[in-house]
Amino acid sequence: MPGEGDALLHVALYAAGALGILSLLLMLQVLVVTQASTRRQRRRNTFQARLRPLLAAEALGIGQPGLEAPAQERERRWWLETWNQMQATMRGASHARLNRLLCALAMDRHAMALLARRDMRSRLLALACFRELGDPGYWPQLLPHLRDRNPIKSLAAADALVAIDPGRAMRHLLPEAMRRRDWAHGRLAWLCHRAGQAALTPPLLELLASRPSEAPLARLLALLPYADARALAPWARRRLADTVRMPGPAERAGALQVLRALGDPGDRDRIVAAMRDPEPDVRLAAVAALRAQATLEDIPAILPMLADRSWAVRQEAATSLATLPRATPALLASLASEVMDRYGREALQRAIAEARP
Amino acid sequence: MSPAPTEWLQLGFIGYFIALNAGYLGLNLLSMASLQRYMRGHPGPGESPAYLGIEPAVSLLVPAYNEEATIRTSVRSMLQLQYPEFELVVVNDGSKDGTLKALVDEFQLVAQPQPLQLALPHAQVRGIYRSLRHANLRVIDKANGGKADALNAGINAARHGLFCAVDADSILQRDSLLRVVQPFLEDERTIAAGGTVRIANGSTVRGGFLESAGIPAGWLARFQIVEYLRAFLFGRLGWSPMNAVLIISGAFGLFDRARVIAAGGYRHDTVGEDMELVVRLHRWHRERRRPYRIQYVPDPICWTEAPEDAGTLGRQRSRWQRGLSESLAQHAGWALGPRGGAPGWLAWPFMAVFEWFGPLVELSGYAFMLAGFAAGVVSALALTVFLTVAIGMGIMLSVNGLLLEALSFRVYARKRDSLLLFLVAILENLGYRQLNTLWRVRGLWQWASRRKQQWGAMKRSGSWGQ
Repeated sequence: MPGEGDALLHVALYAAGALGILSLLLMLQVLVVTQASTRRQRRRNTFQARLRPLLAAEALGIGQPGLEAPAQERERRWWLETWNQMQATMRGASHARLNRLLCALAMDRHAMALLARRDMRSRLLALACFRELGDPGYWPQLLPHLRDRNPIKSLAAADALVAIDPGRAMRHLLPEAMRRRDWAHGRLAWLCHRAGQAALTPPLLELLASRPSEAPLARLLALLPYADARALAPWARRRLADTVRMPGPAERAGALQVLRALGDPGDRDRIVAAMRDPEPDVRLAAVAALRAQATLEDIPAILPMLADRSWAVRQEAATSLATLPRATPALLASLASEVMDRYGREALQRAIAEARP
Repeated sequence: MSPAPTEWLQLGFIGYFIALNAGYLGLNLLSMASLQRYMRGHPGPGESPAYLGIEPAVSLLVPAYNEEATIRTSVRSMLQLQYPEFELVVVNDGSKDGTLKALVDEFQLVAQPQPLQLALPHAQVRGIYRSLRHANLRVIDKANGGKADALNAGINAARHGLFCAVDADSILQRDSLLRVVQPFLEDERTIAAGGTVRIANGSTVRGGFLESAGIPAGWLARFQIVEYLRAFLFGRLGWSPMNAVLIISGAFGLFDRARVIAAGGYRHDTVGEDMELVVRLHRWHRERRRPYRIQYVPDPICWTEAPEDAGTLGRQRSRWQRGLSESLAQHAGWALGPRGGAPGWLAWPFMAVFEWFGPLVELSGYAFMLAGFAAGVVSALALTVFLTVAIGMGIMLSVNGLLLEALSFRVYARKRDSLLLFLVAILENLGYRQLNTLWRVRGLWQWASRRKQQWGAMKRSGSWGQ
């Protein structure tokens, strides 16, 4: 009907108009957001450009006038961000001076206020500040954040706790790490690296001795490279010798990694025995462990590994031979000519070419 | 009286465009939420992620075919990437020009007795070279087999657990590797991470690195900037939280080497080998119930030269459509089956309806509505509604893409650039999108008629050459 059609046409035209207005409003928002963020960035740059020399002078111990806590909330945040960035590059007395400055200006209280906020950026900034501050007085307030459901926040809290007291932090962190699947290994490894061997090793040994199940055990084994090999060696030797409760391939490989780091010639027999393990990962770890302490006398033990079923084991064996101390080019060339396995020979030729260009 | 068939068709075409734009709007909203979460937990624009000291080693694989003009600059720039440990493996895929000689001369390459573990099939390798000047540079010279073939050879030669497939003409940022590896550090289920590809035309590039972004002078490249923001950036980012990203650009993507080998590597029988691999990775993991994540990194970390002439652009878009068609068709059985999950039950149907056969529906819609109006079969009302949803909503989506860009990375921060892009966002929907649809229909036809896949040659500006 003509009237109804006209009405619908009007509706359609209004809809087109509305879309057009919406597009214009979106564009206006784009302009506003862009300009606002550009202005904000400019103000921030100006503030930070003024603050940085003052902080640098304070870090050097030649305090300048004009260093005071900002009144505006926004500027207090920028102050903390700049302080954080500077502290990341500071060490020793300079680091300590900037920490004292933070407390003198009561900016630590502002950081605590940020920690209580709900938004992630504020909390991450606050946790980063407490990481740099390293003050044990804040331990009780930071510990609950270790169990935050958000992995980024919980790892940031872990980082701050490690900075305050590495040993104490590891005792809380490792059990949490065994439980949490959302803590990626890379982040966890970094925390262990920061905490140091002395902090990591005792709780790690305790947890390994508690015979965890497969998944948590795998997470612990992945941290072995960051622990003290000397302290771990008894555990490693016990596990390799255990015929009652046989360790799995991952545990055997992990134990061999420890012996590799230790480099004790007394473990040579254990290592050579592991080179006959049915699992390729274990054989690889064994060859790598022998490589760490190999001499020319170990050639008969390593040479057969060039014919191993596993590609990776062959390459590792080849690299081990090519990098033997006091192995002359003539010796290596004659070794290569003796290898009957074609793949092993190629692997050795590759390793020789790379080791001795 | 029931509506005539022509009225059903009108309703159908209008309904299709409403669904198309509403779908993309929904993805944009998801992208916005995903972007906000990302920006809260990651370094902002202009800041690089911190070195942790435990970043996994990466093998950078660069397939090269007839890249004599730019290969030296590309390799030099990639060697300067800020990353703790990586190797660069350039695969010369049977170039007919002096690509290999340029590499040998520039980087002091010598022959290396390197055995290759043939985990994936590829054309014959003629020689492997290592650089005396750069210990982490190797070059594989092989018979021509195509990009997928070259990447498979690179995967076989790679020494590290992660490999990054990079186009030889990709322009990276110094922290590109550091950014794209973050998903692997944050979630150990991650098996692939895609970098966002941006248009480099109009930008300042020095020494192979992007110094500052700019708006190109040519309108085709300008349209592609808006198109990339709307469809390729925020369109794909919306799928990432659902673990349903179906495409990681071949220009820059980081993968778990062992998983890719287990899934069979790159296929040779498709021009869309990048998308096909990602879909197959989804399939392989879902069929075996292996936990995994394929993530999309929204940071602008890879820049590429977009075609500035219609011929090259048309061939590119036809090729992309063929690749998409091949990838979706090959995995249709899995996608709609019980192991499809979000990638199979959500992303695949979306792509099938709006990207695969969508261009045919769109072209038919335009043709029918315009011809019908001229013939008096389609009313002014119906045509107005159709144009409103097809073009009006399209403009709104394009502008929404600009908003998301302004809220996040602000690559084009000047007011003048924003206003220009607004104009581009409007004009993009008044001819460019329709032309694109034509090219995509051509690609669909080429797929359907089983035309032999060809890449064609891209006209390069060469402004970033040696």
